[in-house]
Amino acid sequence: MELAQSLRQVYNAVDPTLPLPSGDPRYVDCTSVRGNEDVVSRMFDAITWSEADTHQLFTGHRGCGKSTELLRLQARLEEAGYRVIYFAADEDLDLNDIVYSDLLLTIAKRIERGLAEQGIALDPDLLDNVLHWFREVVYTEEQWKTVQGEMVAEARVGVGLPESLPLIARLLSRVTGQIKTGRQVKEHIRRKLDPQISQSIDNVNLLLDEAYAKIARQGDRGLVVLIDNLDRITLTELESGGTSHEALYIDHGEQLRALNCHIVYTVPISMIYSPKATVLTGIFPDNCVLPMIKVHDRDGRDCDEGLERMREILTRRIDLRKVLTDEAVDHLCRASGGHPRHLMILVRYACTYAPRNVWPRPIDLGVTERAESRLVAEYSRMIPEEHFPLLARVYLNKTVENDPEHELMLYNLSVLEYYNGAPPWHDVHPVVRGLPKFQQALEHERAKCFGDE
Amino acid sequence: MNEQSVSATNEETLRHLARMIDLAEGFTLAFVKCNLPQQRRTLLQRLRAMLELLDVQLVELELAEPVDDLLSRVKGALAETKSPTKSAQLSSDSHQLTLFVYGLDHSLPSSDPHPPLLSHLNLARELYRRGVPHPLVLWLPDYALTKLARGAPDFWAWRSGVFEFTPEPEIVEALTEHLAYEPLLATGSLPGELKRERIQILERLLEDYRELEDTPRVRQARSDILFKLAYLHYELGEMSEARFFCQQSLKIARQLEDKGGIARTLHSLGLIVQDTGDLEEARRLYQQSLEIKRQLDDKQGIALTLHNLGAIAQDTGDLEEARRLYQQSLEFRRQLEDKQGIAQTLHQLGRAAEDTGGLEEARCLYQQSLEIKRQLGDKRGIAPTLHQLGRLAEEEGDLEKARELFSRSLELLETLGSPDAEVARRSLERVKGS
Repeated sequence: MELAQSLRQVYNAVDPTLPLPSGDPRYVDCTSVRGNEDVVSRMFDAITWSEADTHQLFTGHRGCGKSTELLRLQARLEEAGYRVIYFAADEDLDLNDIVYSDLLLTIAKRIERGLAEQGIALDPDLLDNVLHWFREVVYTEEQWKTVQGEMVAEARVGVGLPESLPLIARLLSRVTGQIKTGRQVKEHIRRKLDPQISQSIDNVNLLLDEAYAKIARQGDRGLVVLIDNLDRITLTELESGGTSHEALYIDHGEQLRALNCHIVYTVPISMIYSPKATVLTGIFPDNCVLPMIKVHDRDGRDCDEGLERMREILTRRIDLRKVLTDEAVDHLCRASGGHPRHLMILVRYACTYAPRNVWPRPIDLGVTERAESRLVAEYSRMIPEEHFPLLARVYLNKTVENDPEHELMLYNLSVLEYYNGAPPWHDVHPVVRGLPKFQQALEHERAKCFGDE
Repeated sequence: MNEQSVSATNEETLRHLARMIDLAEGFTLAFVKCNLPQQRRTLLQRLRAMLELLDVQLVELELAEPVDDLLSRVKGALAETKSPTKSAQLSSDSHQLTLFVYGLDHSLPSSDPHPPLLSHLNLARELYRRGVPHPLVLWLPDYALTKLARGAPDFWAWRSGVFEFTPEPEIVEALTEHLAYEPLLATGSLPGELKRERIQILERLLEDYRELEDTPRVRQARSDILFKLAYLHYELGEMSEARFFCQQSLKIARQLEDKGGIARTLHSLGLIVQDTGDLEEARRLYQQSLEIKRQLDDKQGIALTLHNLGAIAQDTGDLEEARRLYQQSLEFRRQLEDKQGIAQTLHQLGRAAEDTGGLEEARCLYQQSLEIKRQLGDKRGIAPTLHQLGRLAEEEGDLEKARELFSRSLELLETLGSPDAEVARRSLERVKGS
């Protein structure tokens, strides 16, 4: 891969929207500076060492590299002889309004499709049985006739899956599509399916057991489902009490663990710090947090290795000597707080501000400081007034409380999590320190500390 | 407004924006903060020239109403640009196309904590990347940008640039002059949808003022804008908003010790309170207003408040007191040759006459009132008088005439966006039914 040498190339070499595919030469192994623990290895070991099926939670800040790491896990598992089905939840589900049964149907659909695409066809009789059960629960005889008619008509005009595929596959594909987009149909299916949830799980498990038998016969070791982007479920307060996150991960936690295959679910990082965190970790003892890359230690001193990794993220993409001064690179790496996506954003800002009559190294410290102050201004927009005293306390104590405010601060990236051996510690994002309101709050908190003594 | 109203800071931000568009290939998300559409137009004049030099084709999408799903609109705008008739002019290099979206603030009303657009953006960002392989620049006023940054954090996280334009005092002042100091007669006669548009612009204008240096002059302007906002909401029948803005305006007037402003807002608060049925509180507010106006010897203001005190007396059934107050008001207004005021009081006197059974007298007063309002073009004054004349016709059994008057009144009130349209509609139905 050619390194970017012009500002235009640099700008387009740092796209904040793209995760790296597994094996990409731009990937930088940041294990040692994320806390000396490779989350991929940990999840990999949990799956490969365990005799029973594992159900793990995986989390991390938005933009910290979760998707990139999951794709790596997929590659490693496949190498080790597992069948892996990876999917992004937001492609199939309405993350604004999701209940457990929606997710279950989606998993069933993805497993059936995923295996079929890998050349594993499940036993037709079994599929028929499951189909029969599903339509008995969900549809009246008349409704079923209508549904069948519609499916035939749709297949004819090329909507939905082709008629040659098993009916259950086509039905699931249709139903999950309806759940994602159609309010009424969604309500109908939920009303029918929710009271029958344990039977639904049993039926999906029948499919999984059969799949497992087929996979084992081919010499493969097992089936793993990786569900990415499930952490992007909209956080809402429910009328029934609790939040949308708690409803899925805690109220239905046991059901999330009931499927007979290995599953990795992505969860919002804030769940790990919510007031219900202990309940959650009780249900899911296996959970991994992908921390930020550590660019400074708890006392604020530079962490050279972390900065080196951040720099490496850039050197894999950019011919730095042509474009940035050394000081500018260091400054950007520090200002990013060890957050890869912010590093990308900062480089993009710097390209926008760079003078066009200076060459080489048009991006100097002046330009990167300007880029940083832009990010500071954006943080000032994102942070609600009442968070500043709390942020000052996080900065002083390097820990977060398990409460909704701190949940939100982790959620909007004003607080980042770092790790060097347990327990993890927290700090405010470096750009937050540049905000006058933060400095005021900090002075106030410090005065309070001394006053107490 | 010409090119001179782009400050050096904004000029530089424009250059950065153009630079970003020039550098970006494929889907690139950027935000622009600009409060006033008027300023935006000035900025765009400059920007278009810059982009032309860069060989960038601009596709602009102006949203006039709320949308839940921006993607389909964006795709629609793209498809239109790429339609075969136009494609001949397009170079094959697709990165040279850039999309600007305006009016997204309609979908992000400050009254709604969770507008559907936000969750759509947050969850569908992947679809934008796949479906829009061009720079996508969303123009928003300050409050809406904050709302988006907080309410759609995943979408926001994908930004490659945020360009904030600072208010241009020249534009801000010209708009204030034009909008905040327009005579109430003219503002009140605007059709309902234009009133709503006014509210939007005035709110943006307020945001600009918040960013300007806080001088007494700026505060005065804010107070006047708030008062205008209160008036517009009142005219549209949105009483809680009207009360809110009125109180805000009053607060600033008190800080500035602007007695005229205090008296004016107290009177308006009285009007709003009266509308919600609390006559005692309304009377108290009018009295306070009246006292200040007397100190200031503000005859026009005194006449107005006397008139409203008369209306309260009438509402409580004290017709004698009402007449006395109306006559006092009328006297002042005649001295001042305040035609609009005279017409207003004649109308009220007509209602008082009607209440005591003097139908002929009432008709005569309504006719006089109507005549003056027509001369002035006072549409929002004409509508209720037409309605009252309709009532008289109905009373006399001339249903045909009543029907005609009611429907004319209704049509006017509907156009104005007035809450009184409901009353007129009921009257019309009543005579249609019989």
